[in-house]
Amino acid sequence: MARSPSRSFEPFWRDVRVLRVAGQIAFTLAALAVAAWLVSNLNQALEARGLDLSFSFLRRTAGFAITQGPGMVRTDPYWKAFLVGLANSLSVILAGLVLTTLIGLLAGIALLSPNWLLRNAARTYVEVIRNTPLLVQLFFIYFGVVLTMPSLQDRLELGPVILSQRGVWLPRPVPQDGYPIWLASVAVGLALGVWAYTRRERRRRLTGEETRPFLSALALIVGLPLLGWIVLPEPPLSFETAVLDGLRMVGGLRMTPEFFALLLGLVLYTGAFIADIVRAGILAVAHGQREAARSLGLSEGNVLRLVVLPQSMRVVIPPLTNQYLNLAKNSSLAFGIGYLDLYAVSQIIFNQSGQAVQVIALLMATYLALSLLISVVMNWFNRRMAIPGR
Amino acid sequence: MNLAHTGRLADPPGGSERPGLLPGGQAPPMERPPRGETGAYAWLRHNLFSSSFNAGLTLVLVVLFGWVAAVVLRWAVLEANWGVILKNWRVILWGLYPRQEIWRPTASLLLVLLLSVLTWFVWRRPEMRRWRTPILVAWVVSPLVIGLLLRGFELPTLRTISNNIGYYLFRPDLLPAVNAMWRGPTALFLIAAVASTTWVLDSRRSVRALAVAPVVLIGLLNLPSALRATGGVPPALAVLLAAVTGWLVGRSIGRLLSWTEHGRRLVKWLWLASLIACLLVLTHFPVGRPEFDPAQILTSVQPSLWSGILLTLILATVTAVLSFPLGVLLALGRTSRLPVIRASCVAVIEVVRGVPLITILFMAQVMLPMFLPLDLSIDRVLRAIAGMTIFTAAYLAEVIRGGLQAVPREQVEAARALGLSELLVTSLVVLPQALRLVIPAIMGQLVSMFKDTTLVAIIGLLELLGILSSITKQREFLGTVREVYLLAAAFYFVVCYAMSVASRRAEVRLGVGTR
Repeated sequence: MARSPSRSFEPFWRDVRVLRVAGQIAFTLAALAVAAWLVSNLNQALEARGLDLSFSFLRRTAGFAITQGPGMVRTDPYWKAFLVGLANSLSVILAGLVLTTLIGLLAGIALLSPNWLLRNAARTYVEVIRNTPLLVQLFFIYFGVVLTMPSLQDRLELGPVILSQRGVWLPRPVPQDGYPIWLASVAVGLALGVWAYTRRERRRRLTGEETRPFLSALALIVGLPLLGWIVLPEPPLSFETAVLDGLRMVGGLRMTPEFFALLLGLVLYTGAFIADIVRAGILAVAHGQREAARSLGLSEGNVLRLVVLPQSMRVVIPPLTNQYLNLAKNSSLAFGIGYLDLYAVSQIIFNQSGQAVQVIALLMATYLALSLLISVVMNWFNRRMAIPGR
Repeated sequence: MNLAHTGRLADPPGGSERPGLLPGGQAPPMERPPRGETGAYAWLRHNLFSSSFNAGLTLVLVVLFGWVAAVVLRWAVLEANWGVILKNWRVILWGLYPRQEIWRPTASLLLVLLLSVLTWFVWRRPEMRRWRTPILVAWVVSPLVIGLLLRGFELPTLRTISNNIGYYLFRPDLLPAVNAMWRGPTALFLIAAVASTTWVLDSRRSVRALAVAPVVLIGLLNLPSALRATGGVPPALAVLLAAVTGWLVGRSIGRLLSWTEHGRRLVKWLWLASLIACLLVLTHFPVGRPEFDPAQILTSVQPSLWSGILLTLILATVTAVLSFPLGVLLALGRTSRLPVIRASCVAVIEVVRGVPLITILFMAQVMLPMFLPLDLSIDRVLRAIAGMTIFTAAYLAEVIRGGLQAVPREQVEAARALGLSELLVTSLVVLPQALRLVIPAIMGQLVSMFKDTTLVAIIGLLELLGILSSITKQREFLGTVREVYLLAAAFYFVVCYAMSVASRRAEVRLGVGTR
């Protein structure tokens, strides 16, 4: 520490640098003291209850069965139950992310529609959903709608989709003989599409010639599989709808009532928030940008694709990431309506084993990892979307 | 800037010509707008049938909404059983709170309403600025008052207080000999002290006489016990000693006081205090083992009985009041330059924001009791409040951090240049600006927190949603799920919508983003 003459008579307890270090040391010591006190209390409590802190209980037999998702039987160990819960959570989160983006996009565009009726319908949807708790919506959807749907005998058939209080059945794609060939055509179409896009885009950049890279790529990606479908003697996929066999449904893709209610609730709830984000994103692009792009002679599609979307994406992605994170975290409300997701299974494991500390640590670590995963992916996406040099 | 606000300056001197008028002051000839550009027809054409696509969309939507409205109306009028709400409104409002004590939550609610109205009234009027501090203080104190009101409380009686003070002051069990005799001499000591103080400070004869009279009176009172010669110490000696020491102590106090100007005024209060003390000592000062014999002012109502909308409101307000300062502290910690503090704040904020609220509530229910000493148990409601507070505080901290970062650096530098300390720079310059910037976001967070109070239903507390779902499980009200949850949705919608409208207004009035 260099001593300037003016400092030499200043006592050390008034020196900001000393104070900073001392303050942090004091803070650390206090935090450590509190932590030590808490841990000693915890040890006493654990001793009083005859518990320990090892994770070996995960290998014990669970003693309860899960029929939702991948499922497990009573004799499976706890860790398997935990994994089944995680799989259930992931499936509802993944399906939710895709569907909620769609709903949010549609509702966001509807919010800006010139049609008064559509605009106000979208506004009502957004305001009502945003200002009521998700749990109330889930309870209403599950107890009030899904469970009061007709029984299997009087099931509601909307085309290939079957609705009843025992679940929702979608048609299930069943691969036929020509399926591998068709799959190959899909893969080739995808590869050719990407190749054509990069090539034509480069040529457009270099020569300024309008090569329509997006359109040609789309034509390849959609066209080849379509061609395969038509050329093959029989369709490569047939769709199997569920049929009633005695007292149960056979075939089809079943969604349990709990899964369906949770998915619907999450999608509607998050979609309302995303709608406002989309709306704000579109409005955020200055009007002049659009006009300038038009006066350069860009077509409407190119104005949207090259000028408006890249700029609104930059505004949209950060809050969108937040909504995706919220959806993932809100999926834990599944417990309220009996869907056995990660949280619900952990709660059951805790009730059975009493190992509070480990269960909560595992639960929180898993959710943290999940949140981290979503943020990392979305940040990567955001960096790709960011306009370089700004 | 902003000449528009001081429009008079912008006018040419002496000119009264308004823009838009033709020279000579004549209005341009007015024509009616073409038919079809005004009125209902035009509105319809512009908003619903502007293109063939729009027209088709409108028709489809009209049919769709008409069908939905018909179905909903049919259900609401013909099928729904609204009786479930009429029969249960008391339970929905106050939950399991004892029937005869319901005036207490009602009073609390009225108190909050009164405070809100007062706040609104005062804050609209700049001339009532000096009432703002008392109202803020009232807001800060109100949770305590409401807590006492709801929880019930007991006060130690005067007898208990004096009992305890007497015991610990004189320890009669240690000094039995003095114990028998202490009352009279103590009173004499007190009165003699005040009298001699008066004597020193005031030379008027009447005052001096008035001061000595009580001493004589108390002395006479002491006479009978002084004449009894029992015990180790002669009582007469004790009485004399008390009078003399009292007089000497009083004289030195008087000399001390004579140096200040307030001495004489103080004497009045000294007299009052010592007379009250004497009265206590002589009449009402039973000395024995200290025992707590409280008077029940309001019968105790355990928090486990708090439920219904009452519990929802308690959870929301207490969480809001507690999480705000915690959020500010976390935000300041996160922007601090001290690495240890910054790192710990970042860790707390990020962990809490990375996990669902329900896991935090679960942890608060299950782990909080384990982290506290075995003999200390916290009520479930308080545990839920603790969980919600830390959760909301972490989110608020992020919002406030945004505001802190938006305050221009020059503000900080200017404040430092004025010689303000770090604490003052933060509390007088940075925080007020930062908070004003993020009012809408804070309100958004509070709305979200209010909605999140429903989550405590999952961990088994009977707030609004919890009590409603327990109603639907009663045999009598089976099949009333939709009615009941629609009521819940309506309640939350009204409150949350009002909050967001209020926030938008505050935003406009405080000029967020325009100053």
